Amino acid sequence: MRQWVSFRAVKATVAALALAFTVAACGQSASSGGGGGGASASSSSSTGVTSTSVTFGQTVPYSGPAALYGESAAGVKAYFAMVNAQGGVHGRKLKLISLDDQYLPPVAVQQTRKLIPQEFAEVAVNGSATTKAVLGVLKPLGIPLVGPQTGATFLFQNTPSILFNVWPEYTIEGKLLGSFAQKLGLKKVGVLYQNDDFGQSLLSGVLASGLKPAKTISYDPSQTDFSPDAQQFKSAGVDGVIILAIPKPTIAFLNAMAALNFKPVRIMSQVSAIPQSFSAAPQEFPGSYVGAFIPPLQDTSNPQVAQFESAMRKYEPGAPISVFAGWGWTEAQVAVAGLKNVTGKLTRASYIKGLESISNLQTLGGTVDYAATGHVGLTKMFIVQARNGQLRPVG
Amino acid sequence: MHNFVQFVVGGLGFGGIYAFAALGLVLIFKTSGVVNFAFGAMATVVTMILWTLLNHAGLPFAAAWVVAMAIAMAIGAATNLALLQRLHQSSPTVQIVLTLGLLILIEGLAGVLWGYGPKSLPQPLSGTPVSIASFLITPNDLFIIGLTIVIGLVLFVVFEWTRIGLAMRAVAADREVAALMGVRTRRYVSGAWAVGTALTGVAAILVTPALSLDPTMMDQVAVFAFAAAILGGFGSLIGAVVGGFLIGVGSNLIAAYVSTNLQLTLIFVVIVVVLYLRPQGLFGVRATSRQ
Amino acid sequence: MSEVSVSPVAGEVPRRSLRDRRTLSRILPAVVFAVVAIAFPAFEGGDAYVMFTATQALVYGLAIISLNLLIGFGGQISLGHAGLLAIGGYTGALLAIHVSGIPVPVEILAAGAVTAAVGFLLGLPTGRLRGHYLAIVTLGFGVAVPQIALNWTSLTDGRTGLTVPPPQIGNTIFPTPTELYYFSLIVLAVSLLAIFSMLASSTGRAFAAVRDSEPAAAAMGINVTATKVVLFTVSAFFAGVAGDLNAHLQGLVSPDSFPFSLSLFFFAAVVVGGLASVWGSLAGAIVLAVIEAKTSSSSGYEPVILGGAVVVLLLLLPGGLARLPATVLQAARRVGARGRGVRHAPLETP
Repeated sequence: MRQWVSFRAVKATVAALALAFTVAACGQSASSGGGGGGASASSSSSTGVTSTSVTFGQTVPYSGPAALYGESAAGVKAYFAMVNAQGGVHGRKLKLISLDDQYLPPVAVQQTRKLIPQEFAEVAVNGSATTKAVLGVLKPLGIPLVGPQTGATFLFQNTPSILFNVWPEYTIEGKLLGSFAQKLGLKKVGVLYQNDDFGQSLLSGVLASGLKPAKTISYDPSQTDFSPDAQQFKSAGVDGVIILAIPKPTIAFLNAMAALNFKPVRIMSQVSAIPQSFSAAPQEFPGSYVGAFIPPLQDTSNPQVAQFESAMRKYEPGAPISVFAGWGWTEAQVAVAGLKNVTGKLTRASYIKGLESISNLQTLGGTVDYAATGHVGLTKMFIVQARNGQLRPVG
Repeated sequence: MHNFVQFVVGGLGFGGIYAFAALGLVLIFKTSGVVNFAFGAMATVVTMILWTLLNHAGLPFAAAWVVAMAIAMAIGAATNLALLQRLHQSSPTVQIVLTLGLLILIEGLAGVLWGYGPKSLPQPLSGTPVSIASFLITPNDLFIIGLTIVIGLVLFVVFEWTRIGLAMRAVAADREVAALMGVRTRRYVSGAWAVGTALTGVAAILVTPALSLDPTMMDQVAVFAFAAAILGGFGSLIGAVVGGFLIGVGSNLIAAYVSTNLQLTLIFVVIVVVLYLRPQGLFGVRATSRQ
Repeated sequence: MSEVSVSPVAGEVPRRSLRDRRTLSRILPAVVFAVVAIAFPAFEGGDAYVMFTATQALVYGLAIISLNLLIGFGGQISLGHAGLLAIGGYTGALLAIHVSGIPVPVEILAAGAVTAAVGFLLGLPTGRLRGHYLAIVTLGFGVAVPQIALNWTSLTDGRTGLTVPPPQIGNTIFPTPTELYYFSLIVLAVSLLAIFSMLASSTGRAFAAVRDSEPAAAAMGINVTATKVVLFTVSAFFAGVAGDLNAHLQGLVSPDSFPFSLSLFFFAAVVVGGLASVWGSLAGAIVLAVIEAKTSSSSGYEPVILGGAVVVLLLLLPGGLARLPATVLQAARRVGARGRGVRHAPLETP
């Protein structure tokens, strides 16, 4: 047997190891909280709260395929700024730390770990798969999450006590889209959906509306070429297509249909409602129907819309006043309402109670009533249409 | 049957784009022996510059395209002179990893300079699909296919039958000997980088209307283009073109007849099988072990 | 530094002593690393995120070393290493979830073994493949594994991914970041011992022989194909181990954890650390993990800094971080020589 290390070297190594452990032992007693201080040492019920401030954290995409959803952070910031200008909540100013998760669950988890030592609660986290991953980290620590930007079904089954939904469940939106297709009298409907929680939740809603699609095709988020999908729908002779997808694949699919001279009625989920689609998919986006719970933003007679837009212009002047910002604003409204309901000491437990006692709260996106519905938020959605560069009411 | 041919036709547009990107990659490889992993990202930057020229400088499309091509060539040549040449004594592996670093860096820069929100570009040739023998194809796709074939042929002719091509082949075969024989190797290598970057830039410009422009737009396309280059025989210009079209059509057929969800996986299975039967690629030369 | 050495003249075994520079260069990094690694949590153990980053560095280190075995020591190519980590990660996660109470050493060995089997299959055709073909096969593999995981929802829960329970042995569970750190360190140390042993053995020398010249190796009686298959299998085994560690560290295994860019990242890290240098790979892993941790934020500068670091490091040290001590020593010697008024031609080429 070939000897690859000499006895002297072994002695040296053992000595070094002994030295290392001694140093470690000394360091152990020197550092506070003990070396074993796990995440619980860096996050307790009073993390993120001082007598003058309350810190919220979030992970949203600023880059990657869903980069536009990052616009929602501006809505949160604008609402927080408006409340702070009025003195904050019980004397505390609101702070937001927003980190990029690239719409990827593993990145979201990593970023969440960075937030944990600094935040009191989370608000307006984006994405279905990402939220599920983040919940896995937040749950054991009891950190509340208000208003995840997703309506995936798993959020409404065995809802953890720390989670407060704001968005309507995707099945509600799916049902709305499916019923609308039937109301329009479409004979043969095709459905394109993303092959994950988000797409499947929406699809089950569509099917629950009683619609029997002539063809359903799922797509992989990595897909770039949608000509085979478009062609299959065309060959199936569908006169309407329901698109349950995020913006980039939606645009690619719309353009693929245009390349085949194929223009069925187009109905899509609110997550695809980006204004850039007007120029990115000029033939097929105008005239499309889109689900929504944020009211049309041109309608400034709506007091919620007016307040939202003036605050955005004042506190986030560079940011687009978009549906996505509206999401963030709505979620922030709920989060702050929960804070307002806490009259005594502010802890995570008292915050959760404060949220649970929210009753008949009017927000930009509709009424939230946790006292009546548990942890379910909005339940109403409606259809808008992409016309003349904006999303407008139908009819 | 009609459907089948329509699926084939539908895949030709992307096929041409993969071919263009592969041509850029192969040209650089043929001359300098370096696989430029950053080729997609560089092309995206070129496209971003075109977008800026169109939307902020108000140039008409054709003029902006010409300017963008010139800038692409400058970027390519500069990358070679400033960075790759410093490492040309090192093994190809090291140079390849340098391009990997560039890939990350350039995509990041594109994000910082232009942001990650999607942008759009018009098609070079707009218009509704035309019907050729009852198959629909857009004028834009016809343009892409035609341009790919023409450019591919031009490059092939230049490489095989002109003195410039001869010099490039000499540099590719043995850079030191070529230098000893008086060939200005640095000039030819930089020229290859310049033209190669411009070619991949064309691919990115052509694909933007379908995909919408953002810093990561070319990631998927780059993988397919790389596969196309290898399928064609990594070093054959004609192979790059044929490989590109085959992959474009092949992935369309797989998506149509087998599964849209496993498209990427299955197209690689097909490529691997083809290469197992013909390891040098469709148009490559069988390498003899020279070690 | 850790190059496999050529076998000495028959009958003569070099005496090794601490004063022998080669022995010192082998032992010293191990000692330094061991001291720092063991003592580190005592000072930073209170900060969960720092411990997380440190553990990530260790896990990346093992992953990069396993790839370095293939590329640096074995001269092969792989552009799909993330796929191997995915197999290790999913295997470990599934075992931890479905086999309640499975002791984590068993789980890790199983994850490594399954991945090794896949590596074996990948390595089988290498008799016929090399260069670009190998690149494409490994690339395709790396891209296919996440896509299959995404679609095989009954097994993997698709895009949502599997939440990974903390590692446990018997009744002891290791959920805290510091415990996870020490656990990963132990696994890394054991793996390093195994790898160094193997590299010093005749198998390791066969790897180098095949890498340097296949016809010459064959002429010396080495079964080239068998050597390459062993190489893939061993590399895959440690990649699987790293993948399992990574699964516990992240707490989540999902298809998005293993994009193509991760394979490229590992490939770059191997070269930045230094081909055929185990300690270089560890150093590279630490550098890259720290950069990643310090720069990821909403400002979007992370890729610029990371990519820029790779470019700059390669331009300065084309031989990798492993060459840093030698380069510094040489520069110091030159300065010292000039100070003494002596001009030497450098004896070692950089």
